[in-house]
Amino acid sequence: MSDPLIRVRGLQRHFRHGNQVVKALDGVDLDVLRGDFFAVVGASGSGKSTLLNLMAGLDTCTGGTIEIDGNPLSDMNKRELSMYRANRVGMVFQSFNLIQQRNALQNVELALYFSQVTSSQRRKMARDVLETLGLGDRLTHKPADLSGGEQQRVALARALVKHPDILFVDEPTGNLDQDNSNVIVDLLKEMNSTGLTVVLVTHDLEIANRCAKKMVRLRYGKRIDAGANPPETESGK
Amino acid sequence: MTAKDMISISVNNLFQRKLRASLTILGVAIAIAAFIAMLSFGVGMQQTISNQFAALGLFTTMQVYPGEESSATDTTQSEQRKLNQAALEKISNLPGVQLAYPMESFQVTVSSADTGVEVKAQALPTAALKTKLYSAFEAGDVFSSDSAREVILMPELVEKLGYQLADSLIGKKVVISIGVASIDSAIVNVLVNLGNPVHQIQQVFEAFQMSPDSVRARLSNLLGQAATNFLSGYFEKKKIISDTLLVRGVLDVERHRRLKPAPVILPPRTAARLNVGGPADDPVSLVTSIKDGSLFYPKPSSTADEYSKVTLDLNPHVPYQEIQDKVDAMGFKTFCFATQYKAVQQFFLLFDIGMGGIGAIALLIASMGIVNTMVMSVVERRREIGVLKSLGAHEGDIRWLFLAESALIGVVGSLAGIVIGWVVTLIATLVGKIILANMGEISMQELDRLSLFALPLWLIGAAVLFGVAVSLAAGLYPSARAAGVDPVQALRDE
Repeated sequence: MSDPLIRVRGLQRHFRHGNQVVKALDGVDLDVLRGDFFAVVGASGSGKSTLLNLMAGLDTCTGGTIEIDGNPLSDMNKRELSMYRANRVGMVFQSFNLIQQRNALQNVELALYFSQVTSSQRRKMARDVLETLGLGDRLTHKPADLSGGEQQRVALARALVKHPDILFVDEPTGNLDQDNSNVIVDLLKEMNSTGLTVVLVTHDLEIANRCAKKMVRLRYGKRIDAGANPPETESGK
Repeated sequence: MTAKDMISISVNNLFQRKLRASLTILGVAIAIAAFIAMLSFGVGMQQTISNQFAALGLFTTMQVYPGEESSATDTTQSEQRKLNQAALEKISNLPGVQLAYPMESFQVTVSSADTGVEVKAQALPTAALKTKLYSAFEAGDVFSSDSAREVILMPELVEKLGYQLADSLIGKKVVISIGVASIDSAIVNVLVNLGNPVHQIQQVFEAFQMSPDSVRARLSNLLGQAATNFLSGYFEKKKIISDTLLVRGVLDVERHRRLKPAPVILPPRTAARLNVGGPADDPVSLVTSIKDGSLFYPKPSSTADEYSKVTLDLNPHVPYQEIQDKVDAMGFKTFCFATQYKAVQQFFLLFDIGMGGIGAIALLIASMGIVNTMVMSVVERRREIGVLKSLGAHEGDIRWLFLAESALIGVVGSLAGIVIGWVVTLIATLVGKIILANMGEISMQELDRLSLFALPLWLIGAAVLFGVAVSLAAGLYPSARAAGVDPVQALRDE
């Protein structure tokens, strides 16, 4: 068995709220292999988004370790974490998080500002990925002029344009109707089939079952799935 | 992120909030305009004075006066401090002194046709007339030589002689007369008024036969009469020396308004021919010459000709301070216009600092506007900052992004402020000139040349730098706040 791309051990993320300590994550272990379609399922408040933010290097844990290709994220300084996010990570959010003043092409281009890509290359790469996702005729449209599904596809294009190693997807269909949800799920499966590692966070077990090869379930910051211990036996389709 | 990307994003962001950005930029522009207008006034005034100094050649002119009298025992030093021909030659030979000439004036009568005018005259060598101090002529030219029988007049004298145009007097002849006091005329006057000498001697002898008081009274009366006659003959019965001279030129009145040379200027040798009576034209000189015996036994000319003032024309490439130090070391007193200009410069430096301070206060107020705009921008763009961080933006990228926006506000505001300030100075110049013209204190010619404001390149550069620096400083807090935004919180906000 190959070494995992992401190795999580005893991960804790505790928040202090007045005198109380809120344990958003409390001792989570998991391994994500290269090329996995890995789903984290749980109800609202289970800590799944916190787990995703920690693995994406947006947040820092209060205990445990996250290793990417064997390198602990906690050993990285702020600039190295930024470079990790800029070059290895793509993120898609439930609320799209597109910049309203910029059109689709500009939103996608924005992801390449922090990589070593020239402006002409940047424009070409953004255009190509948008066309691949069926948005060739929406390049100059601002988010307000796009449907929810189209906005999420622009967000997906923004995450994919820099050819990341890992795609972190947080409730991608939460704001979409059934048809658009299906489109997004199909696209994610398609991306995974090309070798891209996808980590999906969702409360929707059906979607997780439809596309994930492996799945873990969280409740109150702990794993509750059968394969919780040892982590190598995570279950999924 | 490259600088080009940063500027592009900043322009885009400012353009998204046109009204707010425009108002903030306007605040900076008004502050910079005030800064520019106030400083350019100080610079303009300084430049006007500097130009006048340069045009008159005052930067290269030095006046030398006799030094303080030293103690009686130190006679050598005392000799050195007299401004005589020997000293003049010594000063002329100093490196950097292009020309040294005495400035002595004396009373003459200028007559043309039936009109005679009594005025002051002075001798000036041809070389001196070619210096910037005198080189502006309304008509005519400098003397053909230092011994030419020519004269140069000031325009006011031209009018007094009954001529309207300076040109019309050029080439005409005028008679210059000078009354020269001398010991001869004084002695003659004593002798003429003495009466019968035999009778006078008789009267003295008669007095001897009377009381000693009568003798004293008789002798006092006799000597008193003789002294009165001597002085009357010396001062009132001067020898009149006249010469007919050709009017060679008329100086420019505007140029020499403040310099005030004597109305009649003569070539030095011509003046010497006329002014032969020596210096004893005033009571002080007379007493001095009686005291030192030079009245009756004139000393050699090298020590007798003492000048009250000598003017130096300096080489502009030699520092004036060096020459001044050397002349001072010779024991003479000096007056240098460049030194005076230094004091003027110091005043204007303080003036400019004061004006700049007022401009800086205006800019400080404008910077509060920048802080407000940028803080609002940070609050509104929290989510965008979160997205940028999720895409790989480092804290430094975010900080620079907001600093670039502040700097952009500064650059655009400064450039607009320079244009507004320039327009304000144009309007103020126009208004100022109208007021000055109505006051009648200044001629139209001078008014045309007058520049109340000056906008040199360094001031434009300084305004832009100042505007950008203050804007960047104003952007420090908002940019730090933006850089510190927690991406997780920002992305969670709805």
